[in-house]
Amino acid sequence: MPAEVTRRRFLLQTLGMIGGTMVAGDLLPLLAEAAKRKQVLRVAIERDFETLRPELSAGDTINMLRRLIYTTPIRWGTKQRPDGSLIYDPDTIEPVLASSYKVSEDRQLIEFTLHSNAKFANGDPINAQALKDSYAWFLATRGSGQLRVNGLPSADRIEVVDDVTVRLNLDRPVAWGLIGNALLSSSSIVHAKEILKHATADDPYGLRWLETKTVESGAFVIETWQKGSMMSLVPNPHAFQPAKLERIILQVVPDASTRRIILERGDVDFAVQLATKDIPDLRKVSGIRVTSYPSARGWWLGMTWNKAPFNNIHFRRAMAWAMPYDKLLQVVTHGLAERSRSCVPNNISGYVGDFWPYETNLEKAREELTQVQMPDGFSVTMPVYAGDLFDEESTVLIKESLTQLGIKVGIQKMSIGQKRSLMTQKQVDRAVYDWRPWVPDAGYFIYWNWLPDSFTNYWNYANPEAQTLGNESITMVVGSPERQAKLRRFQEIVNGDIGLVPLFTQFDNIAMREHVQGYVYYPDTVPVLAKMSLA
Amino acid sequence: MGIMSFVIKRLLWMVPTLFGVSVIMFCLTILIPGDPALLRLGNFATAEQLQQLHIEMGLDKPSHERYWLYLKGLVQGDLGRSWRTGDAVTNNLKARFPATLELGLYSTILSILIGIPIGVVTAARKDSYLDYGGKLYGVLGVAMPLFWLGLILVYVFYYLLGIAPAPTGRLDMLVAPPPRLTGLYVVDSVLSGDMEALWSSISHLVLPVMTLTFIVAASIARMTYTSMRRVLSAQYILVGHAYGISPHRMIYKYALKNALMPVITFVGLQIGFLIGGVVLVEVVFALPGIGRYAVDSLLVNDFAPVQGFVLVVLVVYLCVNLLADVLYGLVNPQVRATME
Repeated sequence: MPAEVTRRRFLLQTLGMIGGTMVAGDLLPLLAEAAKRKQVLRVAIERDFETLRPELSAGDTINMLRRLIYTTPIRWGTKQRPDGSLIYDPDTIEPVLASSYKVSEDRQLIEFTLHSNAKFANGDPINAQALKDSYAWFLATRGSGQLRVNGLPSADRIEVVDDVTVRLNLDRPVAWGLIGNALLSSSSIVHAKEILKHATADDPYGLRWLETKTVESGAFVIETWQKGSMMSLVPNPHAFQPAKLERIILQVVPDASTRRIILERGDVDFAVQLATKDIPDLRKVSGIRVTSYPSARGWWLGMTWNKAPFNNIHFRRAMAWAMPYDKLLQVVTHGLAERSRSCVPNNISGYVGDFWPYETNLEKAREELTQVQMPDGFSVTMPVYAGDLFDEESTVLIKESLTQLGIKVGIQKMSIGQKRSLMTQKQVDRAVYDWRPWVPDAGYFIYWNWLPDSFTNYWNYANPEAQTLGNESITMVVGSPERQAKLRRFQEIVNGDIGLVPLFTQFDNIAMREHVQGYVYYPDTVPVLAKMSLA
Repeated sequence: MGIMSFVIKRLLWMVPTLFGVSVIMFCLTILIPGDPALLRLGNFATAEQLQQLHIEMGLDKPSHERYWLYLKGLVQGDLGRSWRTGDAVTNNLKARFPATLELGLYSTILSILIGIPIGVVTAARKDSYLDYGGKLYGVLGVAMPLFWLGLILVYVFYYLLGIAPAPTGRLDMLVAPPPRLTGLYVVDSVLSGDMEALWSSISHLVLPVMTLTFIVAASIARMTYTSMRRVLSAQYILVGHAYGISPHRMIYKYALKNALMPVITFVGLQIGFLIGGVVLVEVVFALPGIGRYAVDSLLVNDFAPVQGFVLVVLVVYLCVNLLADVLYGLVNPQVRATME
């Protein structure tokens, strides 16, 4: 029997229909969109990719792309933290292109067995010869300082045993020899034969072609690249390990606050390089997962050893006492960092925090300064990378502290290009700066920073005993008691000299939508997007 | 013929101007400290690698030789090579210019369409609420930082209200660009009948264009207001009123025509400001235009794109001002006589 049509029933039914239509109108496209976006990972990145050349290593963005389009023989293993998040395991190695590997007892021979069905994006096999060609191309372009450092100075040290077996004969054992030669950027596998087809008389290694074109060896291939705007990647049809994602869209969003809000509203699944100041608020947003990882990205106050008063130990001690350590942690990093107490960053093998007794104490700083010849007072200019909040705010707080000691500090803002250049050319007297080792090992960090001819020994530090210890640690076994003892002594010496003033080691804060799975934190903080998926 | 020779003369004057600017720009890039090769290599480099890259990037050559090579290329339309993108600057600028043109063009048109009426109406209704409102808008528009306004609009219309698309460039992430005909997405979408791209490109232009228009239209409104007030106090207007010509006719037929003269020149000059504004707006809204290209390059000491950007902007600026002068001449017979 049909229900009686009353005025109330009619009104309710009409409103219900209108409401239902409106909800469906709003909801259905969203559901359709969600279905369409299934396994399409949208990532907001800070800037466009500069090049497809894998031998250049500037910037996290290009490194993220490199991990997608170029494979490597191995990568770090993974372990789970108590909160369920995944992090690299420095004690295990995960085969990628190599199905297995062996390292000889004297650590000078590394042998890889490759997957027999590995192919480049154009279908050519990635066999032992292709691997050797790739290494040889890197060495020929002189593009890889890393390989030489890691005991592989020339291609004749690479031996093709059979179609799937390659041996690397290192000229010396290197503590990070396996990682350095098979995991870092210099081990990215390129299609050397294809690249060399585009070589010209003034470009004998096809570098110009490789700037914008390539033949991928990794899990994903470039589908479209709208320069300055976005890149879309799809799975490599010849990949031997199928990817879960159907597409990855890397969208350039230069402004950090914009990256944050589009993540909040769900227009991207993952945003990189978010401002640390936004992290506490982002934690409160539902649908977003923020994880902080203890990193090896250390921040320091560096001072030159080339001139007075910076090379005066009393002046350096005064600086160590004068630093506003707690304020830096609270104001600059919003508590998302930890105190650093050594000339090497925290959270790496060999770090020792026992040789840094300095806390903020302006009285002790004044005492030290009385022993320094500064009759007319002292002033110094510190270059600051405009746009880096850690750099800017740290320098301002340090200035405030030093002003209380009668030291005038001028701040000169400049681009990252200018600051980095001036520091590498050793033209800066003093500056706040950061450095992150890609291999979590104190010896590796020392190699790049503390030896007299280290590329980023910005301050010209030299100490014969420390130099000997640093050099010895390069060839010893990571984690061995002898090496740990040498690294400990090294830090005792350099921290005693106040080689520089350790300020803090920041956390890496990674934010993504909750439906993103499979993120693993690596020491260089560059994600392997190919391993990720959407729930 | 008079105007034509005036145009040719002005075009010829552009050559020494461009040459002078290219010299200044090149000298500035030498004076700015910093080694681009160091940045490209990153921290994990060796001295040998650095030397190799210097050779590859031509940084091992003396400055005068580098400038000579640059000038030779310039004459042939080659603006050099960007080490950051690994591509010819000319190609980069060609790829990015449509995004900037689209933003600049629509903003200019809207600014004129909004700014001039506001200036006219407020001038015609002196000491009314409309006049006060117009003045307030003029002050706000001139005083408000462009970057800040862009962020506020994004916050309100995208983040809070959810009615604007994400500020992620020219199109939604999942929408493919229309086939490239002019490079202007709106035009290309219409020509190719791609409605999805059309809707997406228009919706992505709304906030950036609003941001620029708000500021530029305010300046035009102020200029129009001042010019109109001057004209409305002229004797011939009083005479017109005395003859019984309607106020509406007086304003729109007689006063406005005369008041527009300085406004035309002002709009031409505003192009310089507009280009500066475009740079900021492109950063806020992630638009891949030539402004952002120049800023990104400058930050990493990649100077060829910056030089290219300056030269292109200079040419645009000179051409627009030439056009403004010609228009001025066409509208004003007195000026036309001086041209002839």
